[in-house]
Amino acid sequence: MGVISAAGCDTSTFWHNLVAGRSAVAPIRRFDVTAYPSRIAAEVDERDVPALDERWAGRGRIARYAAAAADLAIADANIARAPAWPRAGVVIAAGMGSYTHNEAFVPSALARASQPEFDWSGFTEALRRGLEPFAAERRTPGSIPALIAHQYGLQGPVMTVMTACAGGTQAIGDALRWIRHGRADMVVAGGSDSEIYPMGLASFCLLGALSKRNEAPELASCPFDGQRDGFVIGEGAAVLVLEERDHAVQRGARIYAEVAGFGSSCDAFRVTDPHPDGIGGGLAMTRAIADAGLTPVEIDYITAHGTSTPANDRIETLAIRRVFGDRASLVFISSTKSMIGHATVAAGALEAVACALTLTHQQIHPTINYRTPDPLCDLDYVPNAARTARVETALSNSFAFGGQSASLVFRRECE
Amino acid sequence: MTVTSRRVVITGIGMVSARGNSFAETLSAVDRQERADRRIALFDASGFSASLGAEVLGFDPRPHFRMAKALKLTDRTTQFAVAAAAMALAQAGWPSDETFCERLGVLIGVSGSDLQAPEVARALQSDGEPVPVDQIPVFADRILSRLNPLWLLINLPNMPSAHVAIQFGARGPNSTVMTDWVAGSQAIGEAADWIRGGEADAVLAGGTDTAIQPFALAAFDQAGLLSASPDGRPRFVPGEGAAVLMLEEETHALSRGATVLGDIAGYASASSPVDSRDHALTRTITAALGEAGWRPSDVAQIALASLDGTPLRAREDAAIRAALDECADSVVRVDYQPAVGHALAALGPISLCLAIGGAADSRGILCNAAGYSGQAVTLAVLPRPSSMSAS
Repeated sequence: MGVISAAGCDTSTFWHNLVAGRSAVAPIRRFDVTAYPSRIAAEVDERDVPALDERWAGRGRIARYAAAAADLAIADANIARAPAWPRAGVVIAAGMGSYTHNEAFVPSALARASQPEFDWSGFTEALRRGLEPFAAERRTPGSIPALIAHQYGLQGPVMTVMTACAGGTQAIGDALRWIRHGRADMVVAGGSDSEIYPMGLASFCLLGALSKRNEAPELASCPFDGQRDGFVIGEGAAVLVLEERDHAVQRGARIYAEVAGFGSSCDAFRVTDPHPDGIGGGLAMTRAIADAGLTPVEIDYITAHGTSTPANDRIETLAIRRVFGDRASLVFISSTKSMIGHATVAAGALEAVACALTLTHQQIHPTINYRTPDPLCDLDYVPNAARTARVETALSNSFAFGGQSASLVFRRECE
Repeated sequence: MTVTSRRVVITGIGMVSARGNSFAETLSAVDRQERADRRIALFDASGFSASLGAEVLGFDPRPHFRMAKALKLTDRTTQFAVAAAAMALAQAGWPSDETFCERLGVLIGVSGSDLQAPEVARALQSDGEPVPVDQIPVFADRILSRLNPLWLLINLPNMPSAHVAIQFGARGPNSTVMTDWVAGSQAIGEAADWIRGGEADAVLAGGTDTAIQPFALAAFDQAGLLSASPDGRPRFVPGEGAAVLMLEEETHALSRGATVLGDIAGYASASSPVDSRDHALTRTITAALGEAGWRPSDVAQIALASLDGTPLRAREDAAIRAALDECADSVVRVDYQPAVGHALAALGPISLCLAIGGAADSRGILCNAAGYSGQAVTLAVLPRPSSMSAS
């Protein structure tokens, strides 16, 4: 496993910070945010991102984070250098950022407004002039899995998925299916995103989705707390090497956990709001648990989507109640986003790593900043302090704008 | 593939293309060998080296939306996808029964998003001096006060899949593939796996995209793709459109009396560096054949990924020869790009459907898709021409 996160760029620092309940949220340093209503984020310290192969030169942050996390994961999996891996694939969920700020927006600003119609010729001319060489090719998220595959000689399937905030979870589910269906024996799977750039931050501000608690950044992400006022934007990447069990055992690989089940669904309600009954989230959880051959009674821990928005946390709680019934209050639930913010498309992959480490260490990281109970969020969110507990199975939830929902079930690896 | 007990069939095809606003219209226009390239009418593209494109014309999304309110939250690619999905559902005779919809998935491939350049431009346009967008506070102030607050939701590439699910109540698995130009074909292959593995009984799968937007045209222009060839025509015609297939588990389709238009027999994805001698299409063709249980001689036609006369086509031809050996000579190669333009992630699904529609017999079809970073997808499909003409 490899992570590039605001809580560290190696899995042990990442886990150590999560268990310690350390917030990675701070005022945004990357650009001038004075004009934004939300001015805080959980930023990756780019000095911690390892150097990359030259094929990644000139590529954007999303590609570089993905590449770095893949390098770390492949090193961690201790895959011997081979000229080629005919049955290894790559699936990465990646955010959509493709053009630099100036490429994307200078042409719009230069278009002359004096004309009654939009000044297409002025726009076009500025666009053509401003485009850096190979801009589209270098920055498309669609090329990330192929480049990782080429770097390591992985000759199996490659795919980019983009289910917004459910992407990271979706990619791991897709990798699981490839292995089960015999399309690959080994898959490099994960997610990468960075929406911490001027237009990215603006687009979430416009939706009114972000916390405005600028004066207390480290307290702003408070999932399930009664005072929550929106999510805090995060960024990063996480990549996991998934392997068919016999393949892993035969080469003596260290096994963190089993990816036991996956479930995907859609609210089919509205793109602007989650279904008030949590239909999609409930279906994803139910399907993932059934896919793992389990029943809800057998789930010990949930890494919640837990964004810290008023709607998500209430509706996720409702969906958990629907799936788990009376037993809902007995399941440990925590939100990684309370510490590293919402890393959007990468979130599910980072949370998958957290889940696997929970099973490995038999320790549950807390939901920090939990102070004020919300009567509509009344489950055990492991508030503020980590817990040591027996955790055999873990469920990870991710829900997207648009209603796409995805859940994964992980099972502890017994020696 | 180890999970093969459930077979996947096609029971509906919906299409929006430069040659027509339905599958039937497109098919007959292609039969008449009409070319697609016209002067772009959607906006003034005269600033590019060539302003020709294969544009979808006279498209009205409204009849395809069950809930008209959703329209104002959609961009062109989402509208294409919803329209194509509506037509696929109608042809499949899909009931709107809720239990069926719990097992109806959606998987649409798209290469990205157009950033809604005119919307952003209107927000940044000034009356006097240009807005200094490199000064972030000025930029942010403009965007935050003038841009549609729902810009992101309209723009996210997962919206075609989301809106298709919303319009038709599909609560089965739902995802979006964004592997550049192979995304649409890959969505069809992955959706077939959802059905084979029992995650869904039916999936609306395909691709939607548009290259008729300034950022795509600028990128193609930069790559020299829009420059005229010696005969005066641009080699590359940017296109747009969508094709969505209703994929269904065979017994599910037969038990409700649906007409089967074809069978998804094989799928493979791989990638190879663009400068390597090995081409991933060799591997995907071989693997798709293997999964279908076909010999090279079982292939009657191949829908090609690349345009005649380009280095990409030379590589594709070599890959076909390497995979099919001497059978490569007898296979009919069809290239729908001159007819429908390069509809990016939608080109593969559109080509596949046109190949199915044009099949004279029920022998095998291979459909290739190739991305510009070396990604390759091949689908193997058995057409059923008798039911195609009956429907």
